[in-house]
Amino acid sequence: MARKEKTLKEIFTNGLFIQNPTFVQFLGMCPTLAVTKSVESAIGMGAGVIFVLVLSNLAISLIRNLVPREVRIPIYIVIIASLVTILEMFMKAFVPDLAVSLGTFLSLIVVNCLILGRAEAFASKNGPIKSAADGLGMAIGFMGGIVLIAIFRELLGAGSITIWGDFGIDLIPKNYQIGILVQASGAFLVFGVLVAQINKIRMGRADRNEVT
Amino acid sequence: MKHIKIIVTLTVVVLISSLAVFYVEDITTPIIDAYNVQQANIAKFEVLPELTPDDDITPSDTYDFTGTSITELIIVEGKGYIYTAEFQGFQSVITYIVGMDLDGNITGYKTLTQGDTPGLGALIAEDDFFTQFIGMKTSDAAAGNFDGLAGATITTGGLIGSLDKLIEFHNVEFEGAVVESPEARLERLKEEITSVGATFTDVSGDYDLSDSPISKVETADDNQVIYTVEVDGYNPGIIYLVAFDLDTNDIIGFRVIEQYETIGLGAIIEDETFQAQFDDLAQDEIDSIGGSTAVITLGAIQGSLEDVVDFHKEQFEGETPETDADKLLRFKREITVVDAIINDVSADYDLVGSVIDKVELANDGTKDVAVIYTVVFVGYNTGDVIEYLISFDLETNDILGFRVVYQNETPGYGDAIEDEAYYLQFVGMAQLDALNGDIDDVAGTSGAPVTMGAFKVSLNTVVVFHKLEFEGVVLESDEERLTRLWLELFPTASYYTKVTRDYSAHYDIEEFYEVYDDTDTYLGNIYHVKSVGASYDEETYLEFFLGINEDRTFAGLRMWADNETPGKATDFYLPAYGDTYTGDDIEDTYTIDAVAGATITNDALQAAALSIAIYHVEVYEGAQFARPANQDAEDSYLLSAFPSAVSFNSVYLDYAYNSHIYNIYEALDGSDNVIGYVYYAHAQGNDGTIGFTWGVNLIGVTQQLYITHDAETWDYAESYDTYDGSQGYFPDTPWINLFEGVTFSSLLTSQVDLVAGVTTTTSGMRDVLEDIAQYHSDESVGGAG
Repeated sequence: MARKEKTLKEIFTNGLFIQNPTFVQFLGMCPTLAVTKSVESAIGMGAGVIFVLVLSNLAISLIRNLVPREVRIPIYIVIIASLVTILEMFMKAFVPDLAVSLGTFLSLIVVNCLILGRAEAFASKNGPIKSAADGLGMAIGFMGGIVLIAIFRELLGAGSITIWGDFGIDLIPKNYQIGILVQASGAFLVFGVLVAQINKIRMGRADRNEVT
Repeated sequence: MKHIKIIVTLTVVVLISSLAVFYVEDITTPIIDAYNVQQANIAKFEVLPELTPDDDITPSDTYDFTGTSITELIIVEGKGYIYTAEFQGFQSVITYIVGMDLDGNITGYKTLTQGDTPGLGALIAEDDFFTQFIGMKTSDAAAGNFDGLAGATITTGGLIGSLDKLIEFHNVEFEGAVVESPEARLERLKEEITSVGATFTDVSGDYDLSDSPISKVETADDNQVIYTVEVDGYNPGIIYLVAFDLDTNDIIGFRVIEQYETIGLGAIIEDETFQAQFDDLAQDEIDSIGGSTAVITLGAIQGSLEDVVDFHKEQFEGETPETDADKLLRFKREITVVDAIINDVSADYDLVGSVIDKVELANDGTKDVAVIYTVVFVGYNTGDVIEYLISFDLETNDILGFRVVYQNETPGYGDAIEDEAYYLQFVGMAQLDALNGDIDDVAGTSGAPVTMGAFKVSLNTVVVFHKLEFEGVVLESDEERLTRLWLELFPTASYYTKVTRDYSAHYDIEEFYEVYDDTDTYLGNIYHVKSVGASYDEETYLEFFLGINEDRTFAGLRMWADNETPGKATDFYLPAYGDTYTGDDIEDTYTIDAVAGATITNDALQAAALSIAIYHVEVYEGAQFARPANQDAEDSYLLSAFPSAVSFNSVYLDYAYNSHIYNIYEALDGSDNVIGYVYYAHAQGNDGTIGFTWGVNLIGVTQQLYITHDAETWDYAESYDTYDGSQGYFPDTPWINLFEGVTFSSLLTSQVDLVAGVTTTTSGMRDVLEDIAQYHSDESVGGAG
C-alpha cells in the first residue's frame, strides 16, 4: 500500500513539533548546548540555520536528479559549506557582534547533522517546494528549541533577557539567580528537564490516542 | 561514462559554489575590514567619540616624548588628540588611552592594561572610574582633581603624575604654553618663600658647607636667608629650599625642587599642603611636621632641617655651636650629676673585643658617684656604628641615664633610639631590666627590631661587665653554678658517681649521684629532681637538687630552675631556704617554713622532698621507711566503704609507706574470709585535709568512697559564681560516685574529669585516688597486680 503523500502543511509542521530536531530527533546537539547561553545567540544561530537549511534543501532538491549517487555526500557538503561560508561573511559584515558571540559555532553549522540529515533524508527525494518547506519547518523547530532553552538559561541564570541591547527584561534580582545555568553544565540541566517535559506531553498525547 | 558524469557534476557544483562564495566575499570584505579596524581601535573611538573609521589615525612621529610617559600620539585632524601612555602602578605597568578635543577638554579616558591589586588599584580599569574624565578640563586632570581610588594611593598617584606630564606636553605642543625652565622655576620658588621682589645674593662662599646637607646659602634683601638642602629620602636626590627670617629666625617657607620619592607617599612633600606647614614655623617645631605616612622621607627632611637650624643658629644668631666634646661632656653630666668631673679609667680594664669602648667615673667633687660606659655597636646599618653612653649609680648599681652620641640608622625607625621619649625610660631603670632587655619601645623603635635587638645585647654585656667589675658578682655559667650548688650541699665532696639504675619507680627523679670525699668515703646522695610546681591550671615545674646524707638526714636543697609565676619562687633559690632542710631527719615529720606568699610552692617542694626521702630509704637503701604510726579508722568509716564486709583487719605494715595512706584494712566476711580491702587515706582539698575510706574487692573493683572529714566550701564557690553548682556540694556530690563500682585499672587509664570551678578539691582528690590505685597495683595488695 502506497504511503499517503503528505501535504505541504504537514511537512512544514512536522519539524515544528512532532519531529522537532532538538527535543525529538536530538540533532545538532553541539550548538544546542553551546549557544544557548543567551536568547540573542540562540536566535542568531536559529536564523543562520534557517538560512542554510532552506537554501541547502532547495539547492539539493533542485539538483537531486543530476547528482550521481556515489558522490552525493561530497556534493551536499560542498553546497552546505558554501552556504555557511556565505552566511558567515554576511553575518560578520552586517551583524558582527552576533558573529562574535556565535564564534566558531557559526562555521560549525557545516557539520550540523540536522542540515546534512535533511539533505539526505528529505531534499534528495522530494521536490524543491516541499524540500524548502521541510527545511523551513525543521529550522524553525530547531530555532524554537534552542531559543526555549536559552530563555530558561538566561532568565534564571542571569536574571534578565536582553536582545541586541534594545529589548530587555530584567526580572530576577542577583541573589536569586541560578549561576550554574549560564555555565556549560546548566545547558545539560535545562535541556534534560525540557526533554523530560516534552516527552511527558508527547506520551500523554499518545496515551489519549490509544484510549480513544 | 559514469565516471565522466561524476567528474563533471562535481566540477560544476564546486565551480558554482565557489563563484557564489567569491561574489559574496567581494561584497562583504570591505565592510568586514572596516569593522575590524574599528574593533582594533575601539578604545580610540571610545575616548574620542567624534572619531570615525574614515579618519586617519596614523600615529604621529614628529614629536619627542622624552620626559613624559606618552607612548603614542594620534592627531585627528579637526577633531582632537588621542594619547596612549603608561606608568608604573603599584604592582604593574598600567597603560591607558586618553582623548582630548581641540578646546583642551578630555573627551574620554580608558585603562587599557593593568595588573594591580584586585579591589584596590585594579579599579582603575572600571567604567565607573573612566566616566568621570569625560568633559574634564585637562588642567583639572593634571592637578589630580578627580576621584582617586580609595586605598590605592600609589596607583592613583602614578596616574596623576603621568597625566600631569602628558598634559604639560600637550599644552606646550598644542596650546602654545611655554614650559618653565628649571632656572625660572627655581627663581619662582625662591620668590614664593621670600618677600616680593627680593634680591638674592649667593653667599655660599662665606661658609664652610662641607659635612653639611646645605649646598647653597643665599640672602634675600638682607633680612631673609634661603638654604638649598640636598638629602636622601627613601630614594636619593631630594633637593629643597628652606627660608628663614633673619629677624625672628623662624622658618618662613619651604619648597621642594627635586624629589624621586614614591608617588602618593614620600612624594607628598611636594604638595602645597605639606609645604604650607613651613610658612611660619618656629625652629623647635620641626618635629611637629607631619602629613605623611612616609616616615623615612619625613625623617630625612626633619633630620636635615635640624642640621640647617644648627647651621643657622651658628651663622646668623651668633650661637656658638656646641662642639662634639662639649656635647659629650653635657651628655655625661646629664646622665650623672651636674658639674661631674669625668675620669677615664678605661686603662684599668681589659676592653679588648668588648662593645665597651670606654669606662669613666663621674665624681661629684667629693667622691665617685657613677660610672659611665661608652658603648659602640652595630645596628641595622651594618656600614656604620651606634655609639651611646650609659651610666650606673655606684651605690644602687641601677641605671642613671642613657644618651646616644652617634647613630646613622634608618630615619623614622632605628634612629628613634636617639629620641628623648626613648632615653627617658633609662632614668632610674633597674639593673635587672637592662640585663634582661626589659625596655619599652617608642614610635619608631618598634619597627626596628634589628637595631633594638643589637642594642639590648650590647646592654646585657655592659651589665655583666658592671656586675663583675663594680659589684664583684660573677655571673656564672651553668657548669660553674652546678659545681657551686653541689659543694654547698656537700662541702667536703670530692667526686660524684652517677647511679645508673631504673628511675621509673619515681617520676620526679631526673638522675642521682653518690657523693664521695677525697678519702673515698661515701657522704650521701644528690638527687636531681624535677617535680610539679604550684599551679593547678597549667603544668609548672620545680627543678632542684636535694642532698641526703649517709645518716638519713637532709644535706640541704638547692633550687635550679622553675617556671612558676615570676617572682614567686625567687626566694627559694636563697641558701637560707635550702639550708632549713639541712640536718633534718628525712624520716621524721619536719616542717619547713614557707617563703612568704608562696606557700603552695613550699608545700610542693616539701612533698617532693618527702617522696624522694621515701625513695631513698625504700628503693635506694632497700630498707623500711620509718613511718608514722598507722591511724585507725572508726568501724563505721570502714563499713561505709565496704558495706558487705563484717569485720576489718589492719594490714598496712605489710606494705610500703605512702604519705597519703593512713591505714589499709582487709575486709572480712562472716567466716573471716578476705573479700577485699579498705584504704583509709587523705587528700588535700581547697579548704583543708579531706579524709576518706575507699573499698576495693579482690578483683580490683571499687566499692564505696566515703568522706570521713572535710571542710570544702563548694557553696561559697557557687555564691562567688566561680562554680555553677551543677555537681551539688562536697561531699554529697555525684562526682564522688564516679570512683565507685569501677576498676582501679580503668581509673588509671581514663582519668575522671574534674568539676569546673572546684578543680582544687577535685584534682586533689583525683590525684590521691589515682595514687592509691597505682599503689594497690605496685604493692600487690592482696596479690593484686
